[in-house]
Amino acid sequence: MNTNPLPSDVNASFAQLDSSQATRLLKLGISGPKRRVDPLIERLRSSAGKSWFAGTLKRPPFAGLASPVEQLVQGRASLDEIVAFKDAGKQAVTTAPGPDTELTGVAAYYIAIAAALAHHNSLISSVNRPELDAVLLDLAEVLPTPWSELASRAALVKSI
Amino acid sequence: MAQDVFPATMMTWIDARLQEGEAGRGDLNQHIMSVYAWPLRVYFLGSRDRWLGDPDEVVQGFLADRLGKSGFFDEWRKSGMRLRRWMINAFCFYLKELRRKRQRNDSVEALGAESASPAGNPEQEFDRAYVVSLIRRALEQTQKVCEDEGLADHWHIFLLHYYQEQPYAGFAVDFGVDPPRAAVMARTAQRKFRSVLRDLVARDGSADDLDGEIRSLLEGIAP
Repeated sequence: MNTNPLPSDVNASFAQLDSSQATRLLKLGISGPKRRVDPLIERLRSSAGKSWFAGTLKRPPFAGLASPVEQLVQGRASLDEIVAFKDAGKQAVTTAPGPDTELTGVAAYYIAIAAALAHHNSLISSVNRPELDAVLLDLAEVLPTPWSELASRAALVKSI
Repeated sequence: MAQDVFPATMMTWIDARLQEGEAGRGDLNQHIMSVYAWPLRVYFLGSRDRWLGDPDEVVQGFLADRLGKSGFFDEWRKSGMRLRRWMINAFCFYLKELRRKRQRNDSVEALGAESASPAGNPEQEFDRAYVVSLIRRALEQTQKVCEDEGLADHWHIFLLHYYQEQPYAGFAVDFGVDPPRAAVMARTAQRKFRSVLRDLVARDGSADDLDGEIRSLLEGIAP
């Protein structure tokens, strides 16, 4: 439970909101074009999202890992293994026979990026950081544990 | 730059309030007062008509007069203008009416004061104040949404990070979470803020391209 007294002061200060703060907050209203990850986020947010994700762990490319949680969440996979996993995810997206396979590929792609950031402090994607961090936080909102923690931790890593 | 016109079919929120009768009209008037009253006050204070009276009284008088007219929003619909442009145009007509009335009643004072020049650029000040007012309203409404959904801590974390620009590491422990979790909680509240804000922007008459409208607002208030 929050014990910080500051937020109520902040609420009271809406009257003091200045133009530069308003500009910064107005930018948050831009949603931008639909992202490739959005259908995955919608699927994970649905009532069957958690069970669907459990199923993805039994499908390629996750099925090729001995233990997805140990290797990707707990950091046992080497950076090379993670890059190979990411490429397999990308491949699944481009050759997907159906939407489930495609969403699984997208999930693998971003989870690999998160694992590389969280465990190796390495950015293995050309996506710019603000966009990538937004994707990782959106995924962290809807992924089940412990995958959610992996994505949120990665979003806060300052990669070199 | 987004065009200052919109299809009439997009005015869903205001149409719905008008169709609800008195109760809806009350909600609509409250929305107008909360979003447009302060920008109109700012405009008035920067205009050459500021001698006409107390700014609060002038703005309240305008809103009471125009919002009380049954055809006010129908006329707006026909105009094809953004609501904020419609409001400022209507306000200028109202000031003209006041000016004429004052000139008839007190010609000496009127002639002396009317020579006052505008302070700065009142139209741009109005646009800036409109954005501040819009954001203030969006913050108030998002706070209520978050509290109603049991997300008070998410809301507070959002405020501390996005409004006060504090790093998660500086306050996450106060909420009993680590910084990554705080970031996710803030993201949840941010999503709600975005939804509320876009709804408010749409009410001004721009539901067909909200991103474009927000970018246009950002351009309009750039220094």
